[in-house]
Amino acid sequence: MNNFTFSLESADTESGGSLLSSLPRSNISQIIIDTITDALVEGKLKPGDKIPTELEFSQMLGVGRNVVREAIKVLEALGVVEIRRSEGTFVTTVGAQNNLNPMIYGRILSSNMAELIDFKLSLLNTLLYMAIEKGTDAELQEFYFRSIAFRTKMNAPERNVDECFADLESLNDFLGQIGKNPIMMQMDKLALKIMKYTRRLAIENAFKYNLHDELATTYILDAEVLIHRAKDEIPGRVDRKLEVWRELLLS
Amino acid sequence: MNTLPDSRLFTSIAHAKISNIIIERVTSAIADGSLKPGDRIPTEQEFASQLGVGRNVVREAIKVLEAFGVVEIRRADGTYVSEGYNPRLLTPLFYGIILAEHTDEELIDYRISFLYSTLYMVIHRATDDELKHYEQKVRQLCEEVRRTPPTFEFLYEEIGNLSSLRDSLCHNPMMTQVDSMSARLFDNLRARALKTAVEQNQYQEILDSMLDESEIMLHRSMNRLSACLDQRIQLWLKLVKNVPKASITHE
Repeated sequence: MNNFTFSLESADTESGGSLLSSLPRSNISQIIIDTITDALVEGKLKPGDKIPTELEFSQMLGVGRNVVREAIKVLEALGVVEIRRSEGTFVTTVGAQNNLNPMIYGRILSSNMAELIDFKLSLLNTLLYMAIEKGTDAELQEFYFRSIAFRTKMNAPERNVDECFADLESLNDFLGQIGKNPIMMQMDKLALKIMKYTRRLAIENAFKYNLHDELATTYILDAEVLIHRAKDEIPGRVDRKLEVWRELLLS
Repeated sequence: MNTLPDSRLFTSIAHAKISNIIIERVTSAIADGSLKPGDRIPTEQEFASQLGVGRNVVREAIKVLEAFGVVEIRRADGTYVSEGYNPRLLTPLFYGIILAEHTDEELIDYRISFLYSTLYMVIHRATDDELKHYEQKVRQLCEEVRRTPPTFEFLYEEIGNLSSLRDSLCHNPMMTQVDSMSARLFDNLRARALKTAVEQNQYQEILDSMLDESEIMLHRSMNRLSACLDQRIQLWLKLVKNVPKASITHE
């Protein structure tokens, strides 16, 4: 078990040092959250480690228990810690997840749509590169077949948004899995989450503006790069796909 | 198991439920568009009296929404749905990445493969002057190191600064935030490897790789990216293999 202790001295340099005692309590709870986060990033705290109790925290930091409870509640809601009654509070071992409705990201980021699209599609470079490095022939073949199935569905006369969207989700998911890197898979999950609303909108617009074949074809082009393991062609394919997405969502 | 649940236990379940219900109501309202970015949400008191619950449980829900970057509390003014990109929106999603179990090899693979995305964006978006300036800085470092063999501290600092300068050239707030989080995740391993590289006089290859990268950026040679990254992954895998197991922590 990790002996995790810290003081506010290391955390407060950026937020006002000696003025700390007069900081509003919401800032103190944020400092506690930041400090735990930093310890996680630096590997000083690991999944399964016990964190100090409310009482220990408040004594260690010389702050009230309410403000500590608030910080721990937020970390619990973020899926970072789990409170096991009578045992204590532990860093979660199942991996943090939040159940926040992912559709809100698209709404809040609606004024940043262009940046959002650029961000997500740039990530495709890494996803394809990793899939080429780590994917087996069978996996790359399967991605190819799935992308063909996706196009067939997109072009079917009785096509519907929900089904195509579900297919696209699983196609995206699968690409992340081929790369087999646990950190990138989480990164991709993040990106897919904030893009969920936008992706759905892209499919709706593809049908509306008769660009469904064009959209679906970009996935087949991805698959071709994978099958030929043509790493140097990745950026060119991403350029092409970016154009289609911009046309679908920004024009 | 043989003690009866006391009344406190029941209170806390109900408490958690109410706060989740409030969170769920606010987020669904944002997702379906009935609450828009920039809209004010009801005050703590309004929520409490409308729902017939205590103010503490409302405060807790709002705190969680604030930590998720979904709302912004403007002192004395009220609480508003976030409008546009703010770093807090992505921060909660990073916990999945931070808590993903990984080996050193997987971390190297992630950090360097991710550069494919960052550099793709940099090459598309940075100005000629920015790229030239960056290339000159890398060149300067190379020359300086050739004149005087570097200390670990010097090299660690300089390379860290250059990396964050490079990452900032993508001019995309989400990518920059993701990059700086990745850099922090990589920092401990980077320090360990660099320390060994300095001790064993193997740092020249790192500088060569950085110079190669800066030239690729300057000439916007997308098709040379994957070769550069292939090489760098091998280089870091070699460096980290040389790290003596005993000196594994860096403070």
